[in-house]
Amino acid sequence: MLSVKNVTKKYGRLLANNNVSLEISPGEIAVLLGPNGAGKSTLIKAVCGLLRHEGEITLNSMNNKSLEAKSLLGYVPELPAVYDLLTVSEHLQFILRAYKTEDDGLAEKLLRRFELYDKRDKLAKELSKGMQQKLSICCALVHRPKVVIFDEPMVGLDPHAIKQLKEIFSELKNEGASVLISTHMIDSVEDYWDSVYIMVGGQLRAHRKKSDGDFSLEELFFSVTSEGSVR
Amino acid sequence: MGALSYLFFARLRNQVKEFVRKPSKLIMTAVFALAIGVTLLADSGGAPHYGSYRSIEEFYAVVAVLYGAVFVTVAKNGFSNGGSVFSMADVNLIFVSPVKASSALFFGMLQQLGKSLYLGVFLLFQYTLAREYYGIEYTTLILVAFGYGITALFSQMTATLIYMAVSSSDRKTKIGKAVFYGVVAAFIGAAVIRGGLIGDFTIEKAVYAVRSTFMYFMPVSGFVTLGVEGAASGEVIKLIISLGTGLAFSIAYYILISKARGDYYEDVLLSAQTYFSAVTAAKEGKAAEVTPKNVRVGREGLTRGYGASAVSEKHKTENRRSRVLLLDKISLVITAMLALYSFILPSVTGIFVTSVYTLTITVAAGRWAKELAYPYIYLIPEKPFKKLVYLIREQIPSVIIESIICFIPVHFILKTDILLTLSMMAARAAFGLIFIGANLVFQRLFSSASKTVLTITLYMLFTAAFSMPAIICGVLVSFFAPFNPELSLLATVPVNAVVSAVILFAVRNVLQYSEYNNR
Repeated sequence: MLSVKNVTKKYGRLLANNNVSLEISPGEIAVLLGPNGAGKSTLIKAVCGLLRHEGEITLNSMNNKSLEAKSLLGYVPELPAVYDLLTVSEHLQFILRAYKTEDDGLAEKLLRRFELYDKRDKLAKELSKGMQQKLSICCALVHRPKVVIFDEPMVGLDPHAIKQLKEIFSELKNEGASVLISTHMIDSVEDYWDSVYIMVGGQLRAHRKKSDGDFSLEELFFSVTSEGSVR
Repeated sequence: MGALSYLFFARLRNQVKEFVRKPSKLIMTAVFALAIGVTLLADSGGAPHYGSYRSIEEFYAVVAVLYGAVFVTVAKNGFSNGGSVFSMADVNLIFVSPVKASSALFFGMLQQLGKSLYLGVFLLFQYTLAREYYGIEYTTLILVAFGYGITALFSQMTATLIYMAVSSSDRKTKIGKAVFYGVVAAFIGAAVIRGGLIGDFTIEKAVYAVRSTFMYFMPVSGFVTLGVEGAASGEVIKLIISLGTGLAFSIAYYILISKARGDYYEDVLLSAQTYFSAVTAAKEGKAAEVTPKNVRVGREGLTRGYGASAVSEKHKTENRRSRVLLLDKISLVITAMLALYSFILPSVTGIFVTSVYTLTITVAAGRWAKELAYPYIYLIPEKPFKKLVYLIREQIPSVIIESIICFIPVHFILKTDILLTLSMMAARAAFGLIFIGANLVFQRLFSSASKTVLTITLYMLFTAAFSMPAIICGVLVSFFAPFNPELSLLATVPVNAVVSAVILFAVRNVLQYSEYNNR
């Protein structure tokens, strides 16, 4: 369970997040939408404990900065975060060791799913941007997190990887993980979401559950971002 | 007004506006101007440092070597990425627009000239030294700085020409490299023979060798040195020859690229992309990785480390792969620089101060400093202090090893007393701890991944402030033991160790509270 209560984040005079609250239950996929500069990435970084903020963020009722909470979290950053001088498989070994997790075969499985297995001995700097993004996703998932945050995960991915990632969304949901996906590619998550949060100007302007009615994310997004608050 | 003129003036106008919008830029410019002013005020009135000035020939030899090094370093990029006078925005917006390729080229050369001249400004800070040792006037130093910029520009243009000539095949690249390095080796070899330097190296002989007439024929650096020398000494013939050669080079470049090579866009694309990646990485707070082009992977797998210690084990693997021999590239450059300094200005104090100053580069390029630009160190579920200790663990031995190695050539060149050499090694290593500490405080206070001129200046101020106790202690000891400089140096070691330990304790939770912010 991920809980965000009254989170506010300022950069100097700029109010990047203004009193934002949201909640994602185990086995729920939440989508975070918003135009550029809405404050989505800032919120995600705050959730991951990477930014200081006002308000409360908990993962399974534990403060997001606590070690217990950190061990539950998986984070796919907006830009691929890979080390030039480590090979593909060494990235996963590093994460497993850093998170004190035994390799139960998931590392190899992830590499195969994202077509990186034959490149496992290549240095990350030799990978294309898209492959680096796939590796970044593998790193976020290899320690079996219970709360997974994806910040624009599909950018640069090929169709095969997008298909795999969509399947992984479903698998994470079935395994009881709380999943938060920030994306501009609304079509890509249309079939998977359980709840949606729409941010505009640092504020949450709308929150809907799938069960609230028969509407598309795209319709909702444009109605909210072009007309103002419908909350 | 044409599109390119508009672009040129609009950017210029916006740069001026930035001073109003961002007062920090105005402040930094003022501080910069003040710093240059201080070097002028520190002018001893022309009094020589050691009773008499050193030979002016030596000064121009240093200038020629500097220009030569810039030329070789920049022009050789023609064998890999090429050289480009264009930015990525130029590539994406101008190249695809209906602007004439030749006009675009002229525009690129003009904007690169501005950037290159800016690069030479750092030389103005050498005024005090140049004045005290060689009796150099400020106008001469401005000419040297101008020459540096021109050398950088022409070297960049040479890189483009080389890329055009060799990029189409590996064979051509190999032949091109052989010719390029062959020419450079021929000049160095001729100078060594001319100066009779083999087995009997003296500064006088080295200066004589570098100042031989044939060295003016060294591509780019030769004719630029000639021009600077001519302008400074009022020798019109030298100046005219230099200007003529420079003009001929520019026209030849322009014709070769825009006429002989109808479509030159591809030749500058890779270089523009590489530069763009480096700028983007810097904006995201990722220090550019200084690694050999072809990394030898060696032993694979991370088999050690658990929890926080996995970070330092990862660093060991990365360091092993990024090194050339035992040292990384930066340490090798620092060692070579201090060795060169020992030849040119044989002042132990000057060399030690310079060696401490170079710690800025060593620490900034450290693996741990790069790690802060990745999210993992913040995400790993371990106590922040434990992570911090393992984070900086790789840097401390690196600083110690570098401090030992960089003074070995100095010891042999200056024939310093062994105790003094060991003291310098120990003192530099201890100052390294202070630089690491200052970096941590910087991270604690600003925690922004992107470094601006203002924050870097503040970092330098922190470092100076944290170094002060050791410096004061060293100065005090020198009052009591004026003929034992090693005692002053050794006195700084425990002080720096204590100060850095206090800093480490004060910022023990830096990884908990600092922000991973690349906005």
